[in-house]
Amino acid sequence: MSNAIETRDLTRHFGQFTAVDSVSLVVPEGCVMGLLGANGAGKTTLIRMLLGSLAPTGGSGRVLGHDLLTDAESIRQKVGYMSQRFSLYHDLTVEENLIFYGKVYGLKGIGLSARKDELLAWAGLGEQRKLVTGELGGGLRQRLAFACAILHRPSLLLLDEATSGVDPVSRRKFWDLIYGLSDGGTTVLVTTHYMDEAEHCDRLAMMNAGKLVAMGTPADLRAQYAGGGGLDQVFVNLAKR
Amino acid sequence: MDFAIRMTEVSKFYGAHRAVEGISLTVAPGELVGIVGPDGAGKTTLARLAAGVMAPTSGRVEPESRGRVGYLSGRFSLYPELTVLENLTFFAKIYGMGAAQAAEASERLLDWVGLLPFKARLAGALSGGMRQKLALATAVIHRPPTLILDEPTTAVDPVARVDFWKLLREQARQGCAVLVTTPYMDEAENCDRVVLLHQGRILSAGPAQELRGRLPFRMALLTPAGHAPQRRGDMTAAASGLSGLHWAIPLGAGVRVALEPGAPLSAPAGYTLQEVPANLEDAYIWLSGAAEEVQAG
Repeated sequence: MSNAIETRDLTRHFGQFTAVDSVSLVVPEGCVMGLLGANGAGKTTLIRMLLGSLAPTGGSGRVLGHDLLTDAESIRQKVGYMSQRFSLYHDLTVEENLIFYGKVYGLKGIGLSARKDELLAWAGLGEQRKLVTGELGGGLRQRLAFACAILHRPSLLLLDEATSGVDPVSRRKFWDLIYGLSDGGTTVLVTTHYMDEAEHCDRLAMMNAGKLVAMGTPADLRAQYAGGGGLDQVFVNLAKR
Repeated sequence: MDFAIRMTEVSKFYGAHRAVEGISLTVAPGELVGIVGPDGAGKTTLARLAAGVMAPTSGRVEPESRGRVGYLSGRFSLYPELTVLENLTFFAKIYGMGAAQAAEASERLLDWVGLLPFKARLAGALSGGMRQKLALATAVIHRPPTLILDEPTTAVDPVARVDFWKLLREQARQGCAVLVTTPYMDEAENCDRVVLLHQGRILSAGPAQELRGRLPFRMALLTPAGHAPQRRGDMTAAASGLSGLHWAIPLGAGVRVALEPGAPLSAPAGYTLQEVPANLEDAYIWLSGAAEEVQAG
């Protein structure tokens, strides 16, 4: 299995301030990787570099086989992004949102129409296709936003605080979709402040003050940093260092 | 019973849409009560009703003396272009304090929330966790006997959240009745009593330990033995073969399963099955009748 992300001493300065400090990170293809850290720990800056939207000031790395320093444009075309405040058009129908975002990604005609139908079925939104998006419940809206984020079949997907706040049934369905993509080879980066969300990840990387301070499976981190206690405790213990 | 907030058979409808219905709830002085439920369960409506910023469609909310409630909505109104200290003294003056009294109260509260070293910083330049603490300070500057907070810790990192809950506990210890809403089940463990809200109604209420105790199953974690990477489909299939299984939820490292209390903890070959403590989310799945749907995936 090859690696979707490999960085070596990746660094980003903003003037005197070091936002990301010598991060060496390896994420295997198909992995669901949770990136954790306090506000200001450097997660967003690291992610922006990994997605090819911010140039590093030091270090090197390859993402999806492309060099971060010289070929960021190729990376950008292969990534998908969904944030906590997913931007759907509430006055458009479910179907119209998919069509709109499909056109943004350059899909058209029969290709767009087929992809739209495929994703409606995938997300379990077939019956709601004609409903106005503003009338959907939180869980369905989340799945629609997810479908919009993967219209262009990204190989690397970022879910930025996008996984929480819904009921247990919706959450189960949402993670089933994530796991399905992961089993199909899509690499998924998840940021969250909630440790029961972090438990859903294959591996976790914890950042503090720009540095990568711990990496491993949720069980490994609990054993190593919290004496078998909860991930919340892991987080607090690592942030104190 | 002595109470700071009492809601009796309270309902709120927006047109034909039921936001909350049949809510009966009291919060006593010194008590920290958590309203927990997913987005859309009616938490914000309930907080607004309790704070008296909105009238119910039917039912009764007591007491009526509204001046003495501290209320923090999801969107705090701090002034980003004022300093930390100026924000506090501004709110103190709104509550009718004189200059000397406002200055004294501001300093005391900044010390309490740990923001004294940052008093000259612009509120707009604070981190999320610090902003929340400043907002809390502004909400209690008039020493309200009742404090109502609507999702105060959303998007706050775990370290700052631990601090924030300590402050809420201190408020309660000083005799304040504190009502907090949160979508996060694990946070509710910090409360004296938890009210599980589901589709606008109270599903169950009581101390977290008692709610967990209502779950008639034993929870366990099925994980692959050793460190061999495992396909998720295989793990889920292995879980579905367990005897006495009620539901199975795939996680990163394995599958969380709910089993009959008498079911044996025997794992299929290549796996380990370890009993784990039940949490509030397990209780919520059971009490809301979502077990079958969760299992169906």
